[in-house]
Amino acid sequence: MITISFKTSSPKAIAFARKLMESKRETQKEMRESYKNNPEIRNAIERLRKQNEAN
Amino acid sequence: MDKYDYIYVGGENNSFYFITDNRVVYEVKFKDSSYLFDGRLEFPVIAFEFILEIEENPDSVSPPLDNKIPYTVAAIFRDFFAKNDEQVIIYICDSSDSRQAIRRRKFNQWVEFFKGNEFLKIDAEIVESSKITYYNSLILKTNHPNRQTIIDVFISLADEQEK
Repeated sequence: MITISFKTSSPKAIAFARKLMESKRETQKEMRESYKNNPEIRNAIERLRKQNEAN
Repeated sequence: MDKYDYIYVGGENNSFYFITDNRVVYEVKFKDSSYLFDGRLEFPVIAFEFILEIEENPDSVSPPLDNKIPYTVAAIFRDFFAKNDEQVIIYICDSSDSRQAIRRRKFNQWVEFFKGNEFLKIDAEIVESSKITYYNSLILKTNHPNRQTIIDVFISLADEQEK
């Protein structure tokens, strides 16, 4: 892995970072709701649990 | 090295799940974030935001250190890149609880499993104050045909937001 880093404190960069963070929080909320309520996910988790128990 | 079995739930969710020995259920989601590059380039960029989330934790305390998790996450990353090696991944360290520096270290630990020069990571450190710092990263294949242009856009994205 090659890594390049940069650092900034510009107000525009901060506004951008806040916007990304806000979007991430919304996605995390949607993920938790999907996990609880989406039957496709629930079924997949049950299959994985059984698969793990069998191993 | 040992890793957990995982499953992929496709469609809108675009998520992988794995369950640890401590019965903690993790979700790894790749959320379509191509919109970040819309209108900035003459070619489409397929971008996904990587999100790792604990969905179920029966013990209700922070899960203990688990050496299988980094290998599992790295395997999921590879699987996802195998679908299309021209896509790019964006990672935003969650800063809602002020533990973003710890998350950055963990994320760097996971991606360290990609030895060699196959992948390229661009780290952005955005400092709001002495107490608030945001860490964002972009990962793409080193041999991506539009590598330099995408990196330039990622670096300039923040400064262009208010234009």
